[in-house]
Amino acid sequence: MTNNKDPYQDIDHTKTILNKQQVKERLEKTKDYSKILNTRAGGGRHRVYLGNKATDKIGTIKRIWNYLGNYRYGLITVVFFIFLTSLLAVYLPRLFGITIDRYLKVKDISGAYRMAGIIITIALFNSIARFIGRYTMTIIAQKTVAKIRQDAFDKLQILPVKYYDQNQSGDIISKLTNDVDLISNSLSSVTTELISSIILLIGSLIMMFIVNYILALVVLIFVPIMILFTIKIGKITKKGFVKQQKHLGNLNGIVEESISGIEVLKLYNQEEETLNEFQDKNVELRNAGFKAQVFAGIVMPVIGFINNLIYVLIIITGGLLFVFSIGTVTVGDISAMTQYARQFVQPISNLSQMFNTIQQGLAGAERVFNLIDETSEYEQDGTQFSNAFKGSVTFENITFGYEKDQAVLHDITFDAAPGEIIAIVGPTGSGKTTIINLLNRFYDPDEGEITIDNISSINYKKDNLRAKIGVVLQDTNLFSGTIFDNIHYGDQTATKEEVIKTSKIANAHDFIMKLPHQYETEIYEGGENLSHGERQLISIARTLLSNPDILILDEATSSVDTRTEFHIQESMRLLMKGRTSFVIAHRLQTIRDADKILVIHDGKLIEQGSHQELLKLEGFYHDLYTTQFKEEKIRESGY
Amino acid sequence: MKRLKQFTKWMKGNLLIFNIAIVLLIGLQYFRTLTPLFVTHIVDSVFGNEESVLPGFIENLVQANTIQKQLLLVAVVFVLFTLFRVLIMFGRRLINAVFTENIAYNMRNTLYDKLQNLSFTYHSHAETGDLIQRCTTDVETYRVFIGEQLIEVFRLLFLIGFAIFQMNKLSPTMTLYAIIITPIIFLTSLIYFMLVKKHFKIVEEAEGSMTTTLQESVTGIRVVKAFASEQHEIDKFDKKSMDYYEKDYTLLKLMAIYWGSTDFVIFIQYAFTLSFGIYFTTEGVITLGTFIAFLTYIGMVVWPLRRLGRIVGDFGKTTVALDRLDEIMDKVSEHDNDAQNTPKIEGDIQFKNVSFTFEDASTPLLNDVSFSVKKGETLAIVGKTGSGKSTLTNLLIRLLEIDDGEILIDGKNIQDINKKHLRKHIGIIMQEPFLYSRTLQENIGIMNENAPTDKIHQAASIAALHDDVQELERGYNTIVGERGVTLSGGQKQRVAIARMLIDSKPVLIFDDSLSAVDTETDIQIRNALDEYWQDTTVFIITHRITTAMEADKIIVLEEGKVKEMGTHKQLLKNKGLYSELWDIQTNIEYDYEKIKEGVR
Repeated sequence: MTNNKDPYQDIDHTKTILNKQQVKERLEKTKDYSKILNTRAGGGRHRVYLGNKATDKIGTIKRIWNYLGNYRYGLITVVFFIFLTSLLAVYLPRLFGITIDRYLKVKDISGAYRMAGIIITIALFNSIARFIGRYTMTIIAQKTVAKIRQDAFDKLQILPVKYYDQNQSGDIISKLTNDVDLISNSLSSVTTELISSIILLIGSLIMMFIVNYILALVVLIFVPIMILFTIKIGKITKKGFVKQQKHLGNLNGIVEESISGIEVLKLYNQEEETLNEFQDKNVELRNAGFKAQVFAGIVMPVIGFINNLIYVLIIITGGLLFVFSIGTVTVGDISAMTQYARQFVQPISNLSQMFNTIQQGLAGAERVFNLIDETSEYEQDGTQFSNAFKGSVTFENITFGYEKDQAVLHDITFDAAPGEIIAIVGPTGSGKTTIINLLNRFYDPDEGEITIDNISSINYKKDNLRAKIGVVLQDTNLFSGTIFDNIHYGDQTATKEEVIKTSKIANAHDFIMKLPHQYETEIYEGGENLSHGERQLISIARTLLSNPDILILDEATSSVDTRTEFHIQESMRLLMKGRTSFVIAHRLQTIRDADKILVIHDGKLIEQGSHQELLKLEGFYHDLYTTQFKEEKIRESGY
Repeated sequence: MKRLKQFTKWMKGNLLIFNIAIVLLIGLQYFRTLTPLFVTHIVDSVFGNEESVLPGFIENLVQANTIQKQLLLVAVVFVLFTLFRVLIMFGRRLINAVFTENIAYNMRNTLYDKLQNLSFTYHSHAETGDLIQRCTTDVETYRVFIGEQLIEVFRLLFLIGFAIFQMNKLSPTMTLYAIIITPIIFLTSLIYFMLVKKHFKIVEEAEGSMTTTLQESVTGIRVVKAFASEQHEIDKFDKKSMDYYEKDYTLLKLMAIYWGSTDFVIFIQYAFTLSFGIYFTTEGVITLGTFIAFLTYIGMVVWPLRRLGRIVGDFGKTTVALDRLDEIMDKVSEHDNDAQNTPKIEGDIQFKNVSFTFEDASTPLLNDVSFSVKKGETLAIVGKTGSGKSTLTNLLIRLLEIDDGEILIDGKNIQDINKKHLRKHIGIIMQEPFLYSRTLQENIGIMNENAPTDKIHQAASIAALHDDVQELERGYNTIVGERGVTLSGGQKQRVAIARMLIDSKPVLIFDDSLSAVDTETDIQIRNALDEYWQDTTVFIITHRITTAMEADKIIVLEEGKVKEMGTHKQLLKNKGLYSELWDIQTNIEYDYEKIKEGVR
């Protein structure tokens, strides 16, 4: 694909930026907001939860409860109103039955109107109460969830880099987005639904027995059937949708692979083969989707049927009781019973869905809480504070491994005097980056001691240490916002003039001024609207602004055009001037300029010294130099 | 009209089954509105003396002489009737599942096929994520639209219609009062959702912005920590989070107003019906049974109306999705109108004044390029990054189409040769080869699935890959690519080379692909080429002069123009760019020799 990136390199920026903007705008314009619509509409029927169940349900509920505790009055309001409205809902059918029996049948119009008046008032009051209850609950849920999300984010910031190395960034992000959404869903919808379901269930049951116990028993026969059915079918349906999602994933995999490799696909005439493969998987998806839909489609009709069956049985039994004058059954009673039966059955058929949502919410909550419970890296921190480092650094017998008993660095010892440039070279995976991770205390060594200005580095406060050690990484990691914001990131207190001055020194000013909005140019998607070299320059300016005493540079391996390369080299040199610098070097020139070269191989410091000294050794460095850097040099010649 | 066509376009082949589903649906709604009549029948005709309101064919079934028998009959008939209804309902869902899944299946196939056939230019401008989203989310949106929303609209419309029809049959006067303010419900719902739609978007954007901050902070954690700017990130996130919360809260309020106000209107309608119902019942205008039926019927009107408004208000989403799909479908496939000629390709290639400019670029990538290569010759192309080397080969295989001039193969214009045919006979080995997530064997044999194993091994040997493969635990059956074992850059390169060596090709292009292998392998491969494929025309794109020097002809490209052309010797004599390059690169070699000597 690289072949085709070349053409863009010389395109003027106005154009590329405009294009990106258009893409972004288009994406935003057509963004799918079905998700949010679904949450508002009470959730799609087919949403399936794929993750694990919560392991400590009680503990998780307690934690959620603690968060909810801040809204005690709100919660009381919710419970009160939901309770009230459910009770009223339980009482309404009875009232209606009484109206029929006492007034309508005897055509007592004034009595009927009085009752109608009462019913209407109660119903009105009822809907207002329900509204207040739900509204309050949603607000509480939103606030709670916002608080949980912020707590999680605050924790994220003080977690050690180790956590980020051990967890995939997608998983971490998912905790603060998807999992938090799950909590929100179950909080806002289920709580109120659960309370009202329980009250309706119990209330209707009691009322049914009060109205007529024989009819009540008739309804109760169906309860076990309904419960068994909904649970069973719920499980099958879930399995079906899980399968469907899996197949959809497979299909997306093919699309992704073939679209990102479209050039190859065309070159190798693979269109038909991949299309066949796609169609095969597509058939699987279709069949899985079909099965899932069929099973999901059984639920409604069956529940509907049982509902009607109950309905009929009530009327028949009621009618028979009436005719044979067993007990006292009235038309009003029968009318009330049919409504109670409905109110009674409804929660049961919703049960499995509700259970599922709660399950999801708890599992999501547990994952978020686990994150919040992680140990902050500042819990074990030094106390030493330094306003400025002179810059002498020593590594004494440093041994370190990311995993226990798997040392990545063995017994490394070296020192750097203030202002020296130390180049670190070695094959990929030899442990170069680890040295840097230890230097700015992303990790601490297992054995040995690192000192800065003759004080052990673990005695320094971490943020103090890091603020004084500047880092320019290969992966520039720009943030969205303007170019100004990004450079300003190096020192939040810097003035605009200082930012511009620094950019000039870092050779970034010229290209920035050529951009359509100069320093106010927005950066998209980590800087995709800028070339790699330009991102490097911004990153250098950012570090330069922070004015560090010690510097860590990870030279970029990817090639940029010669002019930009020259600028980068120049500004890096400027950056290193007067500062103790550690450079993971890939370029010949950098290595030659270094005061000391550390050759790392398989986690061991096998050679150290100046370029000339090391060449004379005719050891590993000599080999490395003559093979790896030769090709480099040929490329550097410009062609 | 255009919209209608857009909506129905994807249903091709499934229209009949869709119509069956609709007919069943309509029947179901009619049956549903019959159910309240059973109650009316019992109240008025079994216990009272009114005439039955049930339709004739059902009424005939429930005739009996005693009340007990009548009741029992009604019950049995009702249960059977319900069972019948449930069966149809299930059948309707079954059919629904068939056609929605079928439609989605067809859509995905069509889209995927189309995507593949779009030109390379299109793909180099499109975002992969966006395209994938279209293939999945947009298809899903349409599937939901056809299978759920559209069906739901039909269902609701007929339910409302039949309910009003039944009410009217029972009592026209009462009907008027029972539905008098229902249009307000529909209109409120519709207008509201049209208006509130943009708020959904605002909230979505705020959420997106918050997620971006989160994402950047997570992926850039090393930078955050290196600058000790955790607090800054926390502040930034808090701000975005609060913003999202506030916008979500506004939306919630809007929605609350919606639910509250429509609830209220519905409530008023109920109260109306109740009051007038009581009045008419006591006045004897309607029977008690009718009154009870009316209370059920208005439920079949008011709630569906509110839902209807919401769904119709939400149709816009589908329109957007369909527009996005059309945007792809309306693009011309690169194979449409392609030439059908499939002449035997020998390998004489001629570029005549070829120029090419990328769609959105201002300067041409290739400018008036002319040269020719004879069958079996080797042509080397040297030039800076961005000088147009790769564009040149992309033009030759028609991944890109030239703007000006002609490219001839064996004297025939390549525009008149079928693209697939052309690509089948011109092999390209790219700088960054793409491996499929399949076995090594399959990856090597990708161009010829029936290639015998020994042929694959032979190709791998020539590409200096065989020994490496032997070292792998599963040998040629090792899965590679994104979901498999990661190979080194050099190994990938050699897989790509081996691919091309399975069958002989009249033209072979090495797009800077020999530079990733070491000099020895480079020589080995070129020797093998000389030996087995003397008749193959070879293009070598390189920055390494030693690779280029043995070519029959060398082209030096600069800024899209041919700067120099000739053999190694001629070009050295020219004292131009090439000889300059040669000096630099041999000097480097010289440097190394000196270092070695100096060290000794």
